[in-house]
Amino acid sequence: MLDFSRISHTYDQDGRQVETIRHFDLSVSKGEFLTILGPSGCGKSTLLHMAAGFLQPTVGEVSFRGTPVSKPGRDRSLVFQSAALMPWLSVGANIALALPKGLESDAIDEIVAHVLDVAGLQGFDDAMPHQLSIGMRQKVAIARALAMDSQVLLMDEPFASLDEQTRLRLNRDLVDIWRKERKTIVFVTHSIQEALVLSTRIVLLSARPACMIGQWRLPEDDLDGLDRQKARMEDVNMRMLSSEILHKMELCCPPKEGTGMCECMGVRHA
Amino acid sequence: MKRKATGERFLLVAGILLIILIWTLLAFYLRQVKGRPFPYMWEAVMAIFSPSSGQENHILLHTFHSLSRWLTGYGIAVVAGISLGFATAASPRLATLLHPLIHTLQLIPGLAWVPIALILFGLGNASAIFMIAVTAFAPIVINTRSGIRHIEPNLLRAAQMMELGRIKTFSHIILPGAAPSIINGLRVASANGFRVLISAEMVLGSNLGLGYDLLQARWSFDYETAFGAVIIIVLIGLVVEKLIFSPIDDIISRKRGVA
Repeated sequence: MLDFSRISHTYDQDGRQVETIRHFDLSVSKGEFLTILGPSGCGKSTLLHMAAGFLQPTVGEVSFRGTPVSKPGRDRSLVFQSAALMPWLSVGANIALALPKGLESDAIDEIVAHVLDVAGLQGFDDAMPHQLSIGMRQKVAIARALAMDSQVLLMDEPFASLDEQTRLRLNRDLVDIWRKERKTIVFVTHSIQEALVLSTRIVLLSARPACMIGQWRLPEDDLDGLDRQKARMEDVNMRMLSSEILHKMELCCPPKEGTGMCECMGVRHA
Repeated sequence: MKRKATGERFLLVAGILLIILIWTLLAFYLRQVKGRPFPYMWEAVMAIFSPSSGQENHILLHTFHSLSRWLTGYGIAVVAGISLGFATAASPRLATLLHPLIHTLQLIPGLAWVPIALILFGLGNASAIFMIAVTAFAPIVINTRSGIRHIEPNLLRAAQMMELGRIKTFSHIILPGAAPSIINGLRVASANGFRVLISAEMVLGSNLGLGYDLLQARWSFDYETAFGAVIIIVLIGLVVEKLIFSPIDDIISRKRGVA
């Protein structure tokens, strides 16, 4: 559905070429919850911005459903770390703004109420963004992405600035939303725990210039957010996987010479 | 909340009373000790309503002429300044091209425009309007451009992602996003324009206007009328601030949760 083919990206910083991504290949399937995991500043967000169409790779191509991505569009919505809600519009108006042109006001109200319900924000349509907590604002951003009816949700560390408790709760809520809506989600984080709770597949990136140093498919289940969180946090295999990912990150971020661990790897099963 | 509002109102009244007290004490000292004809505040207020026999025109007529000049010059500056602010924000090349001109305009003091205004428009109304427009213009352009440039980039990215189109992006994101900075520019420009108006009316040979009235009163030693004109100038400034800029500022701040 979403393909990154031999992506490399460099940018100019005061006349110096900085390489952020090197030879990155990835294919995201429909309905997948894929998490891109990596250290801060490694280029995870750059990949999402390419998928959203805000950035073009220096080498290679990003394509969505077989068509090269050249500009942003409604079919791929990015949930920003800052939520990016219009502070002067109410929650309902923020969501309504994302809806396609030409809808009747009844249809708009219905969609707004539906996505707020899915996001667990019933009755908040008249609230202003500043009246909500950071976590609730992120939920509004997710509701806005759902209202756009995008086929893929690109989530750029949406819960990074939250406290641990709120983040865990929102992780559960996000799993529930994903189960209900069955959207394809590409989620970026630097938290191993978050990646393990949320994903059907984890892709691990090295430090800059980022390349894929490992990927793991996680067991399929149909548990709701709370049960999945409990099951995965208590599972011995998951703890071993967590240690393995951590060990690889320590070796590769920054890369340690002579370990042979920082090469791009094929798919392995947890 | 109510107690806080009452407290603020009390302080505001106390501040006004302090001005009256200082004026009264100063007038008393200068009259009684130095023997100078410094009017009390109530004498200046009386002069507004009952002008002296030596005055050619009523002070309220002067006020009307000053206001109409200010509105014309300021209106021209607002339309031209906001348009150019948006144009320079949209085109970095245009911004680079006009940067020296706009910043030069901002650095020239209001009264320095007198010879240029006289050469261009001669004595009279047009010169005063030109001086108001040209001194109010630069802060509006600079603040409009700055407000647009400081809109959070992710809001504009979200607009692209939602495929809002140019008109909706402008009306729903750029205009409200830049509004606080535009209002600040308009506020500074309004004060600049009014200051230069009074000065222009003093020197540009117009026979009507608060600046002219102030100067005439000074030559005829009619200090009550001169101080009355100053009171009117201050009141106009306060009314513009309280009836136009403060309410808009309050609405913007309340919507963004910063009030």
